[in-house]
Order: sequence, then C-alpha cells, then structure tokens
Amino acid sequence: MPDQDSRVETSLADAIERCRDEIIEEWLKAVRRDQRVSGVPLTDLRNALPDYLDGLCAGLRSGAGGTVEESGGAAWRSVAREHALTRVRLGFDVTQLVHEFIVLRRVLTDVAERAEDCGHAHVPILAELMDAAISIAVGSYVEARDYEARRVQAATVGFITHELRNPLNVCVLAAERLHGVRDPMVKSVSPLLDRNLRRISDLVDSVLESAKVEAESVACRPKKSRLSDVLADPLGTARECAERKGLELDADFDPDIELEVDPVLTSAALENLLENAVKYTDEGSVEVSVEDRGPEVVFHVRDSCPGLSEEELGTIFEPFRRGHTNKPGSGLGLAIARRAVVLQGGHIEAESVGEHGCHFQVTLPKHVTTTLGEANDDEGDDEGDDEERA
Amino acid sequence: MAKVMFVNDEPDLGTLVQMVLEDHGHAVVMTTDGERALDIARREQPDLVILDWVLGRMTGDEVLRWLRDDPATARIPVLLASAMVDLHDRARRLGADAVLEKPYSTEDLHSAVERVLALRSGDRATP
Repeated sequence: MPDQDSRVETSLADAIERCRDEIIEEWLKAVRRDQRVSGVPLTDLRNALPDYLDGLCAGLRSGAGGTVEESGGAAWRSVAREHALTRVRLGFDVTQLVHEFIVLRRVLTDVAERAEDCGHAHVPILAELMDAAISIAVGSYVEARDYEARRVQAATVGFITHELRNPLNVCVLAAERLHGVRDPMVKSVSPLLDRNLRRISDLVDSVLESAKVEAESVACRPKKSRLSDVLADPLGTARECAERKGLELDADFDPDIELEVDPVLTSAALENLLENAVKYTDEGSVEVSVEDRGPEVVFHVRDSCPGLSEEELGTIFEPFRRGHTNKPGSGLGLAIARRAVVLQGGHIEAESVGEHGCHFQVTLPKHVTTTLGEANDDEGDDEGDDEERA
Repeated sequence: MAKVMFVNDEPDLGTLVQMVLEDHGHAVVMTTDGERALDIARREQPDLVILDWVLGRMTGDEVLRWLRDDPATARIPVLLASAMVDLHDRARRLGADAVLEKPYSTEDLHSAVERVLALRSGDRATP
C-alpha cells in the first residue's frame, strides 16, 4: 500500500521535525550515560545528529519507499562519513558508534508513538531506515579509521624521514671531503659511499613526497594549460633515460588539447609512470598516447617489460611494493602517481599484456576542482606555518 | 674572500660547512643560537648569512625577520638552508635571497654561496 506508507512517512517526518530539539536532548542524555564519552565536549558529541535528522526527514518526504539507499542515500552517506571521521578522531570504537544509532532508534520510536497520526505503521519503516543507517555508518567508520591510520602513519614517516635529512647532510659533506684523498683504500671506498648516500638521499626524497601526498597535505591547484605543456617535463626526462638505455620512446597526442589540471601533481604522476616504464623495459620501446574522451583525457603508457602477475598487478600501486624486484627502487613511484591522480579526481589502472609488456592508464578530468591541502596552504600567510616540518 | 656567518644548531654540519667554505677562501663565523646570531650580525657585518630554518630556541624565520627589521642588518644577504621542500616562495616573502635544500652537496653549497654573494654587489639596494 504505497499511499498509506507514504502518508505514514510524511507524518513521521512531521513528528521528527516538530520534536527535533527534544530528540537531540533525549539522545544526548542517553548517550552521555556511557562513561567512555564523559570527557567529550557536547558539541562534538552532538556533531552530525541535526544533519542526520534533516536527512532522515528529507528521505521520508521523498516518498521513495522508506529505504535510506533510495531516499537521499548519497546525502546520508556523506553525513555518515563525516560523522564517522569525527568518531574515529574522538577515539570511539565501533560498538559506541552502533550504540549511538540504537539510542537514536529508541528516541525516534518514542516520538513516533506519541504522534497520533503515525499509528503502529511507523515501526517497520523506522526499523528499516535505522538498520540501513547503521550499516552505512559502520562502513564509513571502518573506511574513516583506515584513512586516519594511513594519514597518521604517513605523517609520522614523513617527520622521521625529514629528521634524517640533517645527519644525511653531514654524511654527504663528510664523504665529499674524502674525494681528494690519495690513499688507495679511501679511493676505493669513496665511490661506494657516495653512491649509497645518493641512494639514501633519493629514498628519503621519495618517502617524504609519498608521505606528503598520502597525508593529503598537498593542495590541488588546477591551472589552464595545453596538453603539450603538461607532458613536456615528464616526456623530456623519460626521453633522456630511454636514450641512455638505447630504447625508443614514441609519443602520440594532440598538443592543443586544453586542460585545467594541477601541473605539479600531473607532472609527478606522469613522470613516475614514465620513469617506471623506462626502468623496467630492457629491450623494445615505451609508447605514450593520449586519448580525448570529451570531459576526460586518458594517458596510455605501454612498455615492453616482461609483464606482471595478477598478484603483482593487485599491489603495484601500494607504497613499497615493487613488481620487478630485480631492479633498484623505493617502490614508491607508482604509489605517488596513484595519489597524485586520485587527488585530482582521476584514476589509474595497470594491465599486463602477457610477456609483451604492461599498459598503464591514467584517466583525469579535463577540469579538475581545487582542493586545499592541510599543511601547505600558506598563501598570503607568513605566520605560524611551522607544521610544514612534517 | 667573504665573511660568512653560519647559523645552525647541528655542530657536525657546522664543522663540515666551515671546512668547505674555508677551502674556497671564505672566513666563517659560526653560531648555533639565533639570538647570538643577531648580535654577531650587527657587530661583524658578515657578507652573507647561511641560516637554518629550524634552530633550537628560535626558528629561522624569526631570526630572518629580526635581521630584516634591524637597519644595521637589513641588507645582509641571507641564504636559508632547510630540509623542507617547497619553501622557496615563503622564504622569498620573508626576505631571504635564496634557499638551499638539504641534503646539499659541496657543489650545491659553493654555488649557492657564490650566487648570493654576487647579489651583494648587484641590486640589493632595490629588494
């Protein structure tokens, strides 16, 4: 009986809106009985509840049958994600999160029972809505917890790596002092020292870049540019490396395609992708082409490496994972490329063409939206930016 | 030959930088303390200050601000050394003449010093 359902939903929404403040008060009172939240400020505790109630009413009024997924699911999802992130940062565990929703269901049921026009028909509707809300919230909580853990880990790794630069600098300068020494022993070890200090230095740079991108401290600032400008540096660097290895590097693209992407992030992504292709190709060629798909551009990088297994393809964009372990490298290049692409709303994929090489594909919107990083947005502000240390 | 003041709270790094700069014929005044650096700068009038961004009690940007605010030191060229990347724009806004990213090599240090010293005889009058 959709008409009757719809009437009940509207009455339920009316009752919730009428008793909004009372619901919030009752809910807060019940939730605060939990000793574990005694130190949490009231504003933090209340957090997204008013938005939840608004989303709930909007969903009920849309008359889409009472499921959260169908009625305003996207808006709920977004509120749930934000709410879950605040809960993770407040140190809530998943049972506390679920408890909040169970309390909300009870308070809402009391309100609905007091509303004369709701009758008992509200019970299954509320139950379905709250079950779906709990499911979304728990999913968001797990996502948020993983995200927060990654962000904290990246910031810690970034800080430690940053601190390594001072002693590393001492070692680099000290090693260079040995260059003029004629002692045969010093002459034989000095190049080893230089080479390995250079490797540590490169690794520190890569880890810092990766940590910075992973911690999302990078702002995305799109600029209008032509495709040829975007590709100039990555192609130039890759050509030099390819020539040194005696490889061919072919590029096929329309230089006049207009883009509005972040030049630094895009360059970092393409440079890492091309460097990776050249590094792992010992014979044959590396091909770069760009496909214009209207609102998007797709960068294709095809190489003649020995190919990657299914397992390798599954982990190749994770930090410190390397597909071909016989080559030196930090295992961070593709992880940086992926983050630089994702930060711009794009995506990156890899496929292996058997023993004939790999095909990497970067899809980017032609017009990327600006986002501000947490640590690097110091435009016009010279004060108090020392958090850049991490 | 130039008189270079090296401000850094890493004594080992200071020792090596002093060796490198003295090899290139410069005289080096060292300090690990930001406040002392201001006194020395006023008194000694170095041709160049190499200033670390992170010091013990004061930060490099505080020292730089003080140097720039004091008429006695406002025109001394400053090379800001930092382990942070992407500092160039901010360093320039604060009045540094150049940035030297860590870890730097002997060659990086030498060429940065020469480049900034060249500014001294150039257009420091119109910063």
